[in-house]
Amino acid sequence: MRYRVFHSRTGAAALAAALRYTEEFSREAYFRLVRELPKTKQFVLCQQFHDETVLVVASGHEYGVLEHALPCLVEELRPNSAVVLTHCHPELRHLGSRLWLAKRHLLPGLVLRFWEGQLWNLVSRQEGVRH
Amino acid sequence: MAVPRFDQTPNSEVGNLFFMGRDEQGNNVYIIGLGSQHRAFSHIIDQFLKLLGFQAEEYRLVNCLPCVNLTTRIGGYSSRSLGLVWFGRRLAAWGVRQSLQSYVRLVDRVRASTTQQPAFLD
Repeated sequence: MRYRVFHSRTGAAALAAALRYTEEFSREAYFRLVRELPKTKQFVLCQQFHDETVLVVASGHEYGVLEHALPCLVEELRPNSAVVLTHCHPELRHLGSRLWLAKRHLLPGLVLRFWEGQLWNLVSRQEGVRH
Repeated sequence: MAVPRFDQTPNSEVGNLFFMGRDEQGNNVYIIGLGSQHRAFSHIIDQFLKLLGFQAEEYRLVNCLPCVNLTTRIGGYSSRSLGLVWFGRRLAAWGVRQSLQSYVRLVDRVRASTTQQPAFLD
């Protein structure tokens, strides 16, 4: 079994990379999932793509710990499996607080649309994006 | 202080899984350091273990930091961050001795459990 983990500080860039990888990258799919991102204690996306399990997680500032821990776990506990971790850039600043405000409908519509456009421009500029 | 790996993990090895032996029931026992984001990472690792196919009855993932008292924290910080190894390690060990009963209670709880519990992660 192969596991492919995309991670970034808040998960926003990682989510875009994972959706591109699984060929499901669209504005609608992206923003449906990006709202789950503040849940930093779990994988936000977990789906099968061909023979891999694709995972997305917000890894915070100390992502090096996760990059050690997950391969160690697989090597020790499931030596027949493999895990590939990809750290993604760039990130939108203050994503967590913006999502918090958006979830509670505290962002005026114009500001919310501007912010979503900003985020979309950032993630769609990454290599290999198909609109 | 003679405990294997006590206050010996460099920052570059945080996140590594270390095998510590087997308990009396033949279960493998490991330790892993998760740094300052230990709360988030312990939940992520718990979820990852389930994705690896482990049932909740087959493993215990336990956060031991609630047992760590201020003395041990100061000792660990002195040793790891300030480089005062001789002083910090002894202080950390003294702190562990002070709070030994909380470690014993934690181990007893884990031994008595039949399944992994969310409370073990916090």
